[in-house]
Amino acid sequence: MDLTELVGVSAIKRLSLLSALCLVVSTQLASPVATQPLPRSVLIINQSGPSRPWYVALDNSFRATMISSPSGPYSVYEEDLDLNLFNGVNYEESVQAFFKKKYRDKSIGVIVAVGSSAVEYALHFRAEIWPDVPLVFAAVDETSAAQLKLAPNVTGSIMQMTLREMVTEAQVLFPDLKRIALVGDPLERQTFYRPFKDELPKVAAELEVIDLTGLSMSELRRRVATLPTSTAIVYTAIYLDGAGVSYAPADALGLVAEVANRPIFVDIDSDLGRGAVGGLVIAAAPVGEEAARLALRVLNGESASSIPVTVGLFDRPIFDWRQLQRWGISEARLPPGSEIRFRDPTAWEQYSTQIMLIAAAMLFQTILIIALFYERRRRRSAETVSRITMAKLADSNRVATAGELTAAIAHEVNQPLAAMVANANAGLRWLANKAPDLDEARAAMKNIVSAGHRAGEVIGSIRAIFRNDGQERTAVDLNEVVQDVLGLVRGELQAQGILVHIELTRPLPLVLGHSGQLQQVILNLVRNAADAMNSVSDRARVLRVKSAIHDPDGVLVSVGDSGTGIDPKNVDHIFDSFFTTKAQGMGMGLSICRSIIEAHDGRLWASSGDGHGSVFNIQLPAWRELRRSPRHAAAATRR
Amino acid sequence: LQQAPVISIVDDDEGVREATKSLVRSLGYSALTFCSAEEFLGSAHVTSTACLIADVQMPGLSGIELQERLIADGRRIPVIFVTAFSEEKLQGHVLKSGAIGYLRKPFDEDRLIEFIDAALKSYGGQNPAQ
Repeated sequence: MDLTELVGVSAIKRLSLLSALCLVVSTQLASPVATQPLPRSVLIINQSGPSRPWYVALDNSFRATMISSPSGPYSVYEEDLDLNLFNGVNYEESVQAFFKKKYRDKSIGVIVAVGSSAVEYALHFRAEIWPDVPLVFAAVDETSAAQLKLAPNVTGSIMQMTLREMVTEAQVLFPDLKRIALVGDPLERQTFYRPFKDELPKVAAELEVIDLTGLSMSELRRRVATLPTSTAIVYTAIYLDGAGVSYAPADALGLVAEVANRPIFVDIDSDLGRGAVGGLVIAAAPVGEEAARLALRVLNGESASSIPVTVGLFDRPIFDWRQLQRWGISEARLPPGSEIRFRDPTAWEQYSTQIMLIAAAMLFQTILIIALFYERRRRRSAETVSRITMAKLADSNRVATAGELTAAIAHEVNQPLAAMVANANAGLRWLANKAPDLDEARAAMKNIVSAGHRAGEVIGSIRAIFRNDGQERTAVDLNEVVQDVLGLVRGELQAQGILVHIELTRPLPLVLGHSGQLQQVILNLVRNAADAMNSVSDRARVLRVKSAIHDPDGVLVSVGDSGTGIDPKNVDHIFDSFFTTKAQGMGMGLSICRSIIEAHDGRLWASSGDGHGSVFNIQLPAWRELRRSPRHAAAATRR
Repeated sequence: LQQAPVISIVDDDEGVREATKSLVRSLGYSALTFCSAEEFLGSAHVTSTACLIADVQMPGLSGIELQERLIADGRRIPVIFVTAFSEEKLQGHVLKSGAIGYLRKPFDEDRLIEFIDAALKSYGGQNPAQ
């Protein structure tokens, strides 16, 4: 079988992409180490230290990847060289001697060197302490990586990081950019950013470069506060200022940003949030992950020389929202795919639930208020309509009652008047005869007198009904009321052929009330009873009016008829307003009656008659005080 | 005056009844009083009554019903109605059914005399034997 078929086309391509150095070292040194399993431990050598959080994040990401590896566990040792502050041959030698002693009893499987300067040191250490231990590099720029090409048993990942990119990013945000101010330690002294020095001439050809590297912090702060317009600050790192003071680079950035009058661009993600606008920044975590992946491959048996150096795309456009606001940069101007951090959450973002709830509550309240107002208006207009209707009805009721009363009064007054006129005529006749009959004439005169008195009584009883009692309630004898009413409607009842049976209990306790109103109630009940008997022709039309003492301390007046009775299905409704079974009634009578009786603390109810018809009962509380008073006893016996 | 025709008065109101009786008697006629239609119909004087003065509204049988009963019994007694109510419809109705007159209380003496005369004339005409 052909070899190309075995490894596959993609593998061939990959092989062809291998950088020269890997191809060379793999062919030279693949054989001696491949067979023996490597110790399951990794030594990370950082060029910087914990003062640069970017490295810390990278290491953490590295460890996380290692620990989650199914082929683990692995020991991870870590050394920070702090090369931005300490360097030189003596330093290197003493560190090497220290490592040699420190790791005497530890076997190292893979050395991971982070940063190009660390790679240089690591290669020296390896030669002395850990010969043949494979080395994986990370966070190394292309230029530095190219210089490693001859090292054996080495692989790693390259990251893109150029001054050019930072400047381009600044130009994207500020199209009229004319100059850049370079802030940081002198580039030649730096580890990470040293390659920027080689790019400077090219950038300076395009833009004015204000070199603020190597200044003391105080001088630097003075200078960045007074930069000319159309300038962007490019911040690399300050570990040690011109006055010899050491800083954590992010803290130094903060101090610069505090006073800077121009926006600051950075290129690693850990510098975000310290006052820089942002830029095309390199995230530490993916760099660490990539390094761990490479280390794991080596630990799992692959030869470092055979693993091609990878080129990672670790940079992403990330910006600080607050700085964009400060410099008035529209988000629309940012490169596509930009991430914006530190955005002040809007009130909506922060409190959307609360806002929604409050809005809902307010909406609900508003709707409720509107509904209540609407309901109130409706009720008011209904009340007004009802009041007007009631007034009209009451008025027409009054008119109807007045009409009935007029007829009743006419009848009652006409009777004695007729008697008087007839007697007077008779008297005149008796006197006019040739032999005047004085006895007959006298009798006629006497009859006139008694008829006159009767007429007076009728008028009196009518006045009693219409007498305005005012607000005062008085002691009322219901027997009198009954008699007044029956006296008033006597003619009417007779005209309808109704026999009246009256059973009055005497003495009857007095009740406290408006006699006029009580008369109206009884009058109404009597009329209703009479009306109920209109259609009765097969039996006597009998109206029974009774008064009685209703135990324990009440008075009962009942009005019964021998009419058709109350249809059981109407029993519940007869006291409703506007309920009527009469063709021409208004249905107000019984409801008003009940209102009046209830206003007197009494009860009005209907029951079935003994045989035919129905009985309406009025029960009213007796007026105790008066009932016990001797005056009332005397009055009662007098009757 | 033995031949004087008997005039019967039916009215439930005692005052009116007695006053009418007095007036009729003062005119020279014999008068009998009854407090209800039933009492009159049950008496022995139905046949001897030459003229009936009846109230319209009475408990039990009304004046109208009394007239109807008499007609039904074949007794053509002329009736003069008296009423405390004035209902023109009723007036037309009773006159059509053969009433002599219809008087509203308080009634006029001359009208009563006029009606009594007419009643007695018609009674006499109908019953020449009496």
